[in-house]
Amino acid sequence: MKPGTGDGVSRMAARNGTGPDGSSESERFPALGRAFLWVDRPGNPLRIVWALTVACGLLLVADVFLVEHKAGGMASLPGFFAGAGFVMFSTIIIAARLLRTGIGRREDYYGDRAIDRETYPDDQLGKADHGR
Amino acid sequence: MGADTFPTAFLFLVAGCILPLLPRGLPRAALLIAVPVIAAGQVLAVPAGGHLESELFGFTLQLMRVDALSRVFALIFCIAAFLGNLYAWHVRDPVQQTAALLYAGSAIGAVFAGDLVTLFIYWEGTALASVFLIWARRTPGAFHTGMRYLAIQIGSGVLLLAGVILLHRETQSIAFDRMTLGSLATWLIFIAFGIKCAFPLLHNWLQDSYPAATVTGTVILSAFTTKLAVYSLARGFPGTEILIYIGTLMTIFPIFFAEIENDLRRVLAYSLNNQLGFMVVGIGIGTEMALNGTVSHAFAHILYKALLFMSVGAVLFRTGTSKASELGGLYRTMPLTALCCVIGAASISAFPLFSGFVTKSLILHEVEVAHMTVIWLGLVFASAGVLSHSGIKVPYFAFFAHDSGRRPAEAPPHMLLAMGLTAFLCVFIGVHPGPLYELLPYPVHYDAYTVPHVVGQLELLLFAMLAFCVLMRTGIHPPEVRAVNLDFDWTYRRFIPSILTRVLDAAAGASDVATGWLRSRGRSFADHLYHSRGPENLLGRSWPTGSMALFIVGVLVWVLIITFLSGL
Repeated sequence: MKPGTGDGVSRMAARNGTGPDGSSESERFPALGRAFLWVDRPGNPLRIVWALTVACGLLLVADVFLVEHKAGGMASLPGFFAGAGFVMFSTIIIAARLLRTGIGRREDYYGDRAIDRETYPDDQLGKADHGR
Repeated sequence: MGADTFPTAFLFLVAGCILPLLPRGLPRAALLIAVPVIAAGQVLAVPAGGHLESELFGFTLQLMRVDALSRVFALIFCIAAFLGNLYAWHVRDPVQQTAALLYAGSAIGAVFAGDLVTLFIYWEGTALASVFLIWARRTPGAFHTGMRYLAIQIGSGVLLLAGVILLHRETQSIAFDRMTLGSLATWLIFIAFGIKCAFPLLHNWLQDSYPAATVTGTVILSAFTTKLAVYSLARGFPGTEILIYIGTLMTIFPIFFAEIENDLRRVLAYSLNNQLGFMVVGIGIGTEMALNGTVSHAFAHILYKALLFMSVGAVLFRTGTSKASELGGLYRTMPLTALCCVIGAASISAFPLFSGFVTKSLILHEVEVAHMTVIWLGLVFASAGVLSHSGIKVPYFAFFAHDSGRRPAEAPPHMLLAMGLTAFLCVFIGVHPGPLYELLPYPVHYDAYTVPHVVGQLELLLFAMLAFCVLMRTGIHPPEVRAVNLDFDWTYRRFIPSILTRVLDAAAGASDVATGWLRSRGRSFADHLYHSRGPENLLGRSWPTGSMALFIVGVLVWVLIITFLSGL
């Protein structure tokens, strides 16, 4: 396996936006990687959020008008899963954040009997930078 | 030789013994991927029924009990072994290669075991073989983690053996069939299964050990041990009500830990625990459809979980870290790995057209049909949680989010091939669940693709994603930071050792006091003896010869006087 640093020159070049030969860094990404760059273009993250909001709205409309709601449990209530998804997800994140304040510890808490502060042995890796 | 005359497990075990004798490189790697293919062919060809009985210490062992339940688990174990070994094509470490074969073989042997003694032998085999996938990392942390893992896994086997012995005394049978909780024997067997299945409070070996294994070892570990436990519970304790509550707890508690965990391989280990919960609930309900749900979900889960571990493993392989705080923006140069990770994330989150959607819903449907509203709500809550840590967190913080500036090369071709095949299976099962349903133990009368189900599931997931966007943009979502989080393993890694240290310190102090007292008493006794019987004493003193003669004369005179007086 070709050894590499996994950081170093490539990380510096990435921050400068150029490759080692001075070319635009993004031109050297794989085609699929260049296509994915769309998500980071200015304004696009917000567009994604708006698209998601519209999709959610359409789903809610479909739920109310297309789905047959039989009398019965909570699952049959229009919009139940929409509300559950939003509220439950938010609850999980907020609860987890609170939990961290109670159980979070430094990485070396368990000393050398844990892997948390170890680096993975380089000889078992195939570190390599893109294009090298 | 017929397919039913050779135990499938022996293919792996024999290959594991042969492998070190082969030249390094291609021959060994080829053997590693050929054996699961041959084994899968045998699993599909072998007729149903009991085969290959053997006598041991007066017990009749059944090495191949083939029915729909054992066949489907053995098949997915073969597929997992093939994909895991393909992913590990570059590995030249004979320890890992041999361990991978012996581990898979033991798991398959356990699945085909028709009796509890055979199950026990293979049960311990999985423990012994798998620990080498952790130790193969060859660091002090991995060594200690492996020791903890081994102690717990072997402990599970010891409980199983104790239960089997007691059960044999009660029933005169070692058959591995349906059991009813009640006696000490069945409870011991149940707890032994529960340890391997990572029941709440018995779960931490999973989150402790899987991130400590090698890059490829974790992928292989993720497939076998816990799903063997799921199989064992499905075989031994279907319809056991307590499993419904245990399973629900298992689905819920790991999601909070996963959400704040920084090491993405440990996030996936918590996520694995959460997915096991769904399977355990299905076993607890115990209806044919619920058991179908458990088995199909285990099948799909092995694939998408392996895919997620593979993609994070590829990141670790290229960058040297799997910590979310150190990653981000890797989609630029690892787009295919990112795509596979997203497919794994979509599958575990149960998006329509992905595998989790057509398997998990069987379990949820049965819970709903049984009118277990609280349990059902718990599982819906857990489904939202799955999206939070495995559906969003893993792909987002590894491949998207902020740009870490890292520009690692794409995963090696063999890793991409393994991930691509696994991703294909995840999508294939999601789009076309019929072939998987055909493999299940009971006929499936269920259509996952109804309008209410698809709309409801999409609502749950998309609104949860909307919540994620809101929480990220408002800064409420917790950032990824370098830290560890205490879990129940704190009790045996810090609390109990600290208590033991204090007890031992106190005992040592008491011992010092007692020793000091004894020493002082001994010294004072010795002094007393010295002064009364020692050389300074009257009797011990050195007397001159003349003095002694005078003393003897005095004594003789005294005797003479007494003799004279007594004669009067």
